[in-house]
Amino acid sequence: MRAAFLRARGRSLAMAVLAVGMIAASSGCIGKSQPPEEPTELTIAFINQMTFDAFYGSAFQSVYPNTSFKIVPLLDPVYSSNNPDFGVALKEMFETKKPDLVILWDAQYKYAADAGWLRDLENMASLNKFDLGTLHEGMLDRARSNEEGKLYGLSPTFNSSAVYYNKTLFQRYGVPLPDQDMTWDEILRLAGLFVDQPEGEDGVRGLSMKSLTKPFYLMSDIAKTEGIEMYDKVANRLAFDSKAWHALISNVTAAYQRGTFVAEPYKTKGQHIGLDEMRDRDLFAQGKAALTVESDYYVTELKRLYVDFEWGVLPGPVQTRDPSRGGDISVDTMFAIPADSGHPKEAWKLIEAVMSERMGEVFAERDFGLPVRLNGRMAKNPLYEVFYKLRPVPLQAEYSIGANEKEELMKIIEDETDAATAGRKSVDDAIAAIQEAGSRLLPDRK
Amino acid sequence: MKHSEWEKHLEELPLGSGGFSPKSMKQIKERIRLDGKRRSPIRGITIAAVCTLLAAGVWAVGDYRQALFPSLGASKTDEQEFRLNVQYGDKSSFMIRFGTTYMLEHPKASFEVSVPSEEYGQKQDLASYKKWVSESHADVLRFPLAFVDDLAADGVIVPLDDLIKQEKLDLEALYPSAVDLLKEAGNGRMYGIMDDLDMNMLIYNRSLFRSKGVPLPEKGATWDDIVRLAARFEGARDQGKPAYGFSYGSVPDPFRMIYEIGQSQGLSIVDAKGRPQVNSASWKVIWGQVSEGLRKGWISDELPDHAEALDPLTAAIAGNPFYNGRSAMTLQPYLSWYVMSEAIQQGMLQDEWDAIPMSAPTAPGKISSLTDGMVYAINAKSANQAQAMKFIHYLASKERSTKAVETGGPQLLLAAMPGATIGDGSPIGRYYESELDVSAVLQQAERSQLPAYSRVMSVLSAKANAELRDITDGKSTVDEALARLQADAEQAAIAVESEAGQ
Repeated sequence: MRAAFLRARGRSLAMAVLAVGMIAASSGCIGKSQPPEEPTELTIAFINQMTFDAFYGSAFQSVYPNTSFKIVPLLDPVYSSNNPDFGVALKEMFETKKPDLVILWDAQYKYAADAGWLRDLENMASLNKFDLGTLHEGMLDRARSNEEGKLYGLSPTFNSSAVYYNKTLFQRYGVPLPDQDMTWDEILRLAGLFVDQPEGEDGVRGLSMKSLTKPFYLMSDIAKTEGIEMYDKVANRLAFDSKAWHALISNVTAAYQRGTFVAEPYKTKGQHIGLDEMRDRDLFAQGKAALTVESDYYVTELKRLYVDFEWGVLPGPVQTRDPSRGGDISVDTMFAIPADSGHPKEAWKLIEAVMSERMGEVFAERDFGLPVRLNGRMAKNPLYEVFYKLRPVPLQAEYSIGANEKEELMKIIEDETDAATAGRKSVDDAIAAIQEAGSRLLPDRK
Repeated sequence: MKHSEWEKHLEELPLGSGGFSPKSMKQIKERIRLDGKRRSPIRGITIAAVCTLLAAGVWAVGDYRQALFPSLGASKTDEQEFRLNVQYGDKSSFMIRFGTTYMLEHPKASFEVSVPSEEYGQKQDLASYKKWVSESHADVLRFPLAFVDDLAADGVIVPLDDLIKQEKLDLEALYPSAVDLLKEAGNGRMYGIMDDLDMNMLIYNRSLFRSKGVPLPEKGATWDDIVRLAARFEGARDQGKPAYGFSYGSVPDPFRMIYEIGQSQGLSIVDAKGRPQVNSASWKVIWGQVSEGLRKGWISDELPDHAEALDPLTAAIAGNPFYNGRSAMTLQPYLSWYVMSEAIQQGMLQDEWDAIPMSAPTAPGKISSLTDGMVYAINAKSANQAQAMKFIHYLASKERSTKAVETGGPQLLLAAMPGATIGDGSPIGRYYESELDVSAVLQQAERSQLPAYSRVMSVLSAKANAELRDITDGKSTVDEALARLQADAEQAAIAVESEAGQ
């Protein structure tokens, strides 16, 4: 047996050229009724072959059963947004591999969208009578979060967050059950009622979020929901000296000092935190926290843990100014068609397949995100419908700053807010120090 | 057993876990969520790595695709919506491996997944399994081969013979030895199909044999034959480094090597009543041969360089002398093919190689032991037996196996043999060509389910390698070491008995 015979994955260049020629020849017809002729090969940029096969292979094969899907792997760290020059690697990939379809992480997607490498899908959708109105607005909003605000990509699933509450604990403490659509302020106020109760139990907190390691991260979550910008992109300056930030830091500091919530660093050093430590930190699942804000996946976790208390889940936290908005909506991967795709129509058919109602039902059976279809089973499931109720809040502006400077800046912001919450500094002094660091690291645009 | 984490993941796969153990799954989820929550810059790559791990865990690549062609098991005429309840380790793995493809092929189908109890997860015994099934609503059950006779006798599972005829499931398409095994276990009737099965085969480096002028091993060689050939590589060198006659795995684990060799020779560490027999004459011979091979250097005990610093896949390749062309023979299941094929693609292993069964002296040409295997059967309580059978038919379809092979998988052997054009002369073909010694395989499967077995195995895993080191260092003898291990194993077995008596 020799190595050479093993797996004949690649097809010859001649075949690819032939396929391009065939499609060019048949490019006269557009529309839903006439699917493009089945191509010999389609090139798809995605994590790697195995992940493709596991997640999307069967959906794509249902459209083109005889097509060979050639995967351009993006697993190499050069494509990671952790690499400050990932755009360079991505550009080279677009130019040399010429993918027909790309499935990108959100940061890669945004970069490619802003660089003008992607095709506007709004037109493709209308030409193919694909109703974008049946999809969750949050996903569409994230897809349009690019400089031109255009729809360059679609994702079949999204993630969101909601407010979970321990009904048993509320009743035991005689605290009125939480309302729908609470703001962060209301959550903190309600959570505060569980502290210093004469009949209270040891270790019970009003609010606990298991991955909250610093008070600043709660401030940051609140700022995102409320649309309080940390950074003024036009002036390239920090905006912590606003009234809104002053009030926000003061509120969170007061709640922290009162013991309404906990924020402790992980015991484990390094990137990956073990299951056991996460379980230890998860006070809500242990029945020791009245409220938590977690993602949709937490529903699965609570069910799997067979917790011995009654719990509920509500949409939120919502924005004070516009309570129809809230939740922390995110999208992992975006399906997009390169502007230079040799098979844009075929690529669109694949996107249609992955966005189909049936695939929505398939995604509903998995634990990887919520299907974006509003008419699907998940959107009507009482446990999950809350994740579909809110409209998205706009994303915060991103810093126009190098990776190292950003890291330094974030460290200063975290340290200064830590000093404020720990009572080592006044809120005013902490803000002054943050602004000073900002003016040093983000020189004003002149 | 000091396997790398990655190997542990792979090892966990077949243990009733559905492609990934629930614990690994949860850990993976935690990692995704944790990094996702704070929009960490490493998030993308972390998820990517996790996805790779996940996908590696469900390395049944083509598995997800195959039902898209008209297949025997896939009727598109299912008119009514139905929800089939299948026993599996967790729902996500199930959906990735089977559910997505099946749902796309059967537009009215959807799935519930029933996860066995924690008690069964820990004990892995028949009693706790039966208890769980009695409370479960699973239509399709999944359990080890050794349970078939008891579950059939107790009426927990239904004979499939009539359903197989109704469904027109082609038994000829299945791996013949597995059909024989099931019929033997079911007293002549088929109570299920076997999927995700695997066995050790002897893989040898033809080029290395030629260059050293040693005759090639022949099909059905026994371990004694292999020892004679391997010993001829004493003192051999290749690429400026030592070359070996025999090696096992990527991390030196001589006890595991001895254990797998013994299994291949039809030996078990316990007898039919669960009494330890680790110092039997046959085991002693293998201990003697392996310790001699290690001492004289024709069996590898090479430690990989800087393995800790490498990613698991690279470490698994770097640590395995066979994958680097420096070992003439190794024993490995098809599960390891994924790593070996990577070694080939990376140019580490450029030599010609082949795979043959290693047999017990009592069954020439046959294989006496399975390393993996799961039986899918239908719960007698199921009100959806026809739909359950359709699903089993899908698992057992030739198209599924063919597609899996075409797209680079599967991870373990699937129920049906892949199409002839693929199977002939391919690595997976070599495994499917092998014939099992049905009674020996069943006996081993039964014994591995005895309560004492896992305790004895724990004792050996904890102590045997240290004993082996002492033997090769000349501080102890095989007789002394095995006497000590036998005594410890007996203690462990007595503890099991007294627990059972309470």
